[in-house]
Amino acid sequence: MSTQKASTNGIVITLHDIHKTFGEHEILKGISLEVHQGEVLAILGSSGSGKTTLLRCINALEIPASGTVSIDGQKIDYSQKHSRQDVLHLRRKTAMVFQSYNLFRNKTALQNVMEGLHVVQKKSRDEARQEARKALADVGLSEFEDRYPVQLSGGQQQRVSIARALALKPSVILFDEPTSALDPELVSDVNEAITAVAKTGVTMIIVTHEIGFARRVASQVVFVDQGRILERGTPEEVIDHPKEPRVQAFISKLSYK
Amino acid sequence: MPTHVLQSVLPGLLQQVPTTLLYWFVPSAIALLLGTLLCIVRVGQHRVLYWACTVFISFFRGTPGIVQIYIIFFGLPKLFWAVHVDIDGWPAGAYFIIATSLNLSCFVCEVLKGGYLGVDHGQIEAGKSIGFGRFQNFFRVIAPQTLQISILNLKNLEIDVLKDTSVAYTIGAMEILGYANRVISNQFGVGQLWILGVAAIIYFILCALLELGFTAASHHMERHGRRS
Repeated sequence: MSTQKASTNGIVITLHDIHKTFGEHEILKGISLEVHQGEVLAILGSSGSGKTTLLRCINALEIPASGTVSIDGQKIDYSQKHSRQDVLHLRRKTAMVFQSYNLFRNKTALQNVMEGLHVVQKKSRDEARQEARKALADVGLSEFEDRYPVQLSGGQQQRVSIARALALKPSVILFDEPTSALDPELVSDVNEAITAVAKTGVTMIIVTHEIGFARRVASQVVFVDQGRILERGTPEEVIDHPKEPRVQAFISKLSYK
Repeated sequence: MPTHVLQSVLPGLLQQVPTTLLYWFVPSAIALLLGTLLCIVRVGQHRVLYWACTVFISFFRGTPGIVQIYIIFFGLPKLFWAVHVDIDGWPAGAYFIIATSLNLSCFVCEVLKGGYLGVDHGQIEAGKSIGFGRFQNFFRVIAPQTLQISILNLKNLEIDVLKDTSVAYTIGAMEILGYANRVISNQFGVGQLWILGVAAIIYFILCALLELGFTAASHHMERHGRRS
């Protein structure tokens, strides 16, 4: 993990006018946003608002119907023909932490983290192992490196999955509701790990239901509603002083829960 | 009497073991490859190929294996004859291997398809998310996990195939049962049950070894499923 705060605040990710439909249903209705180097963007919104789909459009797990995605110099205009290679190159700028961890179940914690380093980034096994151990240490799981996912708690699995993403040193790490499948008492461990990663200057986009966590970790917040960005700004602006009535209602409901 | 029969027939029966293993192994190897290809088509998007494979599979799954062996044994030379290739010199075992390979491929395909559909989609997405290309994801995530889910069903298939090598003698291919039958008819049926009994024991031992092999393999594949 790079411990040095990014010196430039250039734009790392640009989404322009992203549309996505599932069958007849339009999930994303023209989303544009920019994320700067080292920024932590939290995407809020109610279930079905399209926030997870938006996240998955960034690393092309969902292919947008139209619009452009550009990450660190790799750009795809989805209105035009694009090849599998384009998608692969774009995706390799990113890493993702899934809601249900999705660790390779037939591999140990260490092997999970090594996999991308060795197979995708073509590092030698020794080098990959070294970097993977460091990433596991960063999330506090050094002594669990030989465990299989089934032998780890949900929180530990999710931290391995954060290490797996982190080790790749991607331009951005995408988090898809990283704590919503966890037992409540395990949430804080994972949130701490994410906060620690954020402090190292890694650019991150986090889809979350946890307003409190978003408030602490994010530098920018967007509120997605019915496939559009309804409000955007700093956490103070969007979470503490929302302007849109829809956002106000959402925030107040969650705060009083 | 039994010891006498044993002494005279056992060496000859054992000599046929490699042939039986050949009739088992070659179709199994071909079917693993062809069955995988069929499976890829069956879970893929290409409509024409999909229907071609579906018809192919339903023929081989919906007709008796022995009928297929006869059709290939009698039909293939005629087919080749039509394009002016003479395959009359081929040994009967070759036809048996071809028929069994085709038949087994269809069953392997369906077993693998079931396994593939059982792979957690999140595993495939995880592979994509760390930048695996299509082939990397296939060989590193999809194939091993499909195989793991399918291994017990594959074991059942393979044990059947090993036993069904005995059908080869119906088209005159020589293997354990074929040899046993020849000895029996040479002796006008004397010691028939003893000879068949010895053949059965040899089949049983081969199946037991195969079973052990598969058990070891599945145990190895499932090591990650154990909690301690």
